[in-house]
Amino acid sequence: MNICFYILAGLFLVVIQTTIVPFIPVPFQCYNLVTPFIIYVSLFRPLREGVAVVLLLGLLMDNLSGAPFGIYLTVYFWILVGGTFLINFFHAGNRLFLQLAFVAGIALENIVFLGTMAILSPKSFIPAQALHVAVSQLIWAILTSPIVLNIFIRCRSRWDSIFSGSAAG
Amino acid sequence: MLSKKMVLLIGVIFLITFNMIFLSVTSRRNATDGSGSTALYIVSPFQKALTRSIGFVKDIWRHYFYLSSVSMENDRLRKELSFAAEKNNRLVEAELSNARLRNLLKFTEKTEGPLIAAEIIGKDPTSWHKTITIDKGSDDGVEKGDAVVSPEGVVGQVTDVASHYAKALLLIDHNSAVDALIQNSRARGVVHGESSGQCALKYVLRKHEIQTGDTVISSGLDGIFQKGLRVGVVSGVVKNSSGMFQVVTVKPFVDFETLEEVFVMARIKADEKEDG
Repeated sequence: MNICFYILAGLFLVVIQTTIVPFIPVPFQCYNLVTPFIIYVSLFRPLREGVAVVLLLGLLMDNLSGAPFGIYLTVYFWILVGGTFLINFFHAGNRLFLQLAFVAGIALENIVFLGTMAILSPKSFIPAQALHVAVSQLIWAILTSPIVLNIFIRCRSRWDSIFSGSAAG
Repeated sequence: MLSKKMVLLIGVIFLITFNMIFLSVTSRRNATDGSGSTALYIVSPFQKALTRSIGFVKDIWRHYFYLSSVSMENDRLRKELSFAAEKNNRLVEAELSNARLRNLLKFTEKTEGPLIAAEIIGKDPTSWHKTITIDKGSDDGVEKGDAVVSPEGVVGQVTDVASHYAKALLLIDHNSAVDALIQNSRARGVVHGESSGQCALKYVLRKHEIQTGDTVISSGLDGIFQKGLRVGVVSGVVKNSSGMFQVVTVKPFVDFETLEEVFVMARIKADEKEDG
């Protein structure tokens, strides 16, 4: 059932990210919707589940995007490493910590993308609107992080209650 | 002996270095290892279903609730206008070719390959890169490297193909390159995508006189796009005091924000070219 939850949630987020989000005008465009899911998994779920989700969604996003192959795997891997490391020192219920972790995850994604374009790609290049897009994504992250993480937590507990209930019955 | 912390630190440094080398290698090649078609196969049916549903709702809104007849007439006129613009461009191009080749004994007609109509069902998950997913794949005759066009002009190039879906790199992506000509002056260059949604015509020699408003067309020399396809219009020209080339900015004819349907053109193959 765990696998089903991650496949359905991941697929839902990827499809929304590739069909609806690109049509939203840039000033209102928020962060990549899959990233908060990885942050949630890294903070609230066991490491083995995190590794599976990172591999599944990282490969899926890498293959759907025109970005260099492996860039989403990189971002999600380091978010998982960071989240797993930080959760040893902070309580996952701490609201401020969750907000900071969320914003750091979104910031890491932007840094890796821009860093790859600016340093590693053969045509060193930084998009003109890079700062604008990155700042806009961080503001969206600050504003929406408690709601988004709460949605994931509630969905997961609802899923667990439905399937553990039916299993028991 | 190394302490536990030291081992951890070395491990992290090794991972970061390995990661950077890996990304450096993959950023030098556009193609994926073939697993791209699997991802398209898994995700695209859902993208198609959602895009169709959104399109259905949009159509109801546009055609039934929002001045139905005006909207439909507008759709028809826009389509007619884009076809007329393309036809006009072909006539201008034919006229110029005729004038240039009048003294030649043989005139070779442009090769017209079959067009495959496709619908855009998904876009790139990140705003930093510009790709689209279309609902036609290898079973429909689409091949990796095929040109993607619309009645307005050049759209991009197919980079990944699954059986019923394909991924295309757009003209405005910074990895995209199209060999092109200025229609009037015949100055040659390479159109590269820029982040701003515009393009740059690079490697145009300073000696050519280029004006804002000049039409840029494909040269056909890249073996991907047929000669004479509309690429864009010159929106700016800068001649620096030094250097061999001038900086030419090109605004694509295609509006990539509102683009919904495209055509895939079979690639000009070397043997076909020789036969032609």
